[in-house]
Amino acid sequence: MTDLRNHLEGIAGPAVPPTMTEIDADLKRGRHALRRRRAVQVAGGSTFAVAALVAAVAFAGSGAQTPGDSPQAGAPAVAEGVTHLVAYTGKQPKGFTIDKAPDGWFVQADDESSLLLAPSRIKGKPGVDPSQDPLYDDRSFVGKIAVMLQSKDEQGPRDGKAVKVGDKDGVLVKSLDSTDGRTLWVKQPKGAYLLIQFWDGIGLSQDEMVVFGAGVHVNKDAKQGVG
Amino acid sequence: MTSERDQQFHDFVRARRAGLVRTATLLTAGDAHLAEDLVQSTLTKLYVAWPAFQRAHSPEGYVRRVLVNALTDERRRLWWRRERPTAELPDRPHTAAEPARGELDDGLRTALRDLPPKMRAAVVFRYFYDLDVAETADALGCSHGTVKSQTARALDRLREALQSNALFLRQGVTQ
Repeated sequence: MTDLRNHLEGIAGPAVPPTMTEIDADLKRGRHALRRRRAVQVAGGSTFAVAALVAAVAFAGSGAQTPGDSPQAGAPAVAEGVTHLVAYTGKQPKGFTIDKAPDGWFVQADDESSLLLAPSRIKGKPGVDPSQDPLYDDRSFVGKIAVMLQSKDEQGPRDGKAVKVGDKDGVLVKSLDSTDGRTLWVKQPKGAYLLIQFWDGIGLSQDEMVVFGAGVHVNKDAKQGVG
Repeated sequence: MTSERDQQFHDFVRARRAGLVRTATLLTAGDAHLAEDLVQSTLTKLYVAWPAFQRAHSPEGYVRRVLVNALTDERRRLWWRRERPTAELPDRPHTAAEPARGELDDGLRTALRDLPPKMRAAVVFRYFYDLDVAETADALGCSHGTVKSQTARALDRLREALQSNALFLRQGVTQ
């Protein structure tokens, strides 16, 4: 096996010592991931506490609640996390058309390959560096809804929840690295699936994801991406 | 302010990053970009789980396991895309890990690339790092029997893919 090892050595390449910049970047990523993990753990606990508080207040106030008794502390947190669908009235995108959109969202970018929806609150803020916030970057899917056809080099959906999307069959697949983010795969008559990626934390329920998907129509000019 | 964890991690990265990049390059059959992603992902996971890593019975084995898991995760993550797709791929320059090393290395790289990731990892750990079956099984999270069968099948496939290269057959995987 000596010769095999020699050739693998060639593929592995030389051992290049890391620069201080690389080491610092690794450290920064690690710290960020740890902070995020701890924040999620804390948020998880807080969510449970808020839910318990809301449940307790609702139970205690049932039958005798007045407007002044509403649980002010819990209400905003719940409201902020929920997004509802409304009829889409803006200009229709190119490769795809949509019947509904989350309330207060807009079409940030579209072409024959994909359609990107983002929250309207990011509009009208010139001077924000898109590289510092993916919401402002119209090439990034982070925090948004992305619509596309299945990539040419992509396999079919992984295991997920089978759903009926309008008159089509679909699968709602949870991402391995997300909590409530999902990708909806919708079988298309011509073969390639329609994919709708709902990023983590945008506040749509799974039912609303399916309703949104039922309102997405693939135009004849829509193209499959690659990579 | 630098914590003890930061300092230990910093020392670890300085000492081990180059080796991890080489291993990741082999696990990805010479894909330098993916290898860098794997290393970054592995190091991030190690930082988060630093106490567990330090308590590990075999820190070396722990790192190998995290690296292989990162490889598996990365392949699953391909569908969970973060950037817009395009209908056509842009032209890409040759990467540093893809120079013309000769027909033999190119052939081996292609043959490795055609292997399933875990089968490729089995070859790398067994025949590049000389790990025994138990250590390789630990890294891959599979049984000893699976390691044996995977490496045997991998060598068969490498042999088949490189059949046209008499030199390699004479000196390499057939012996």
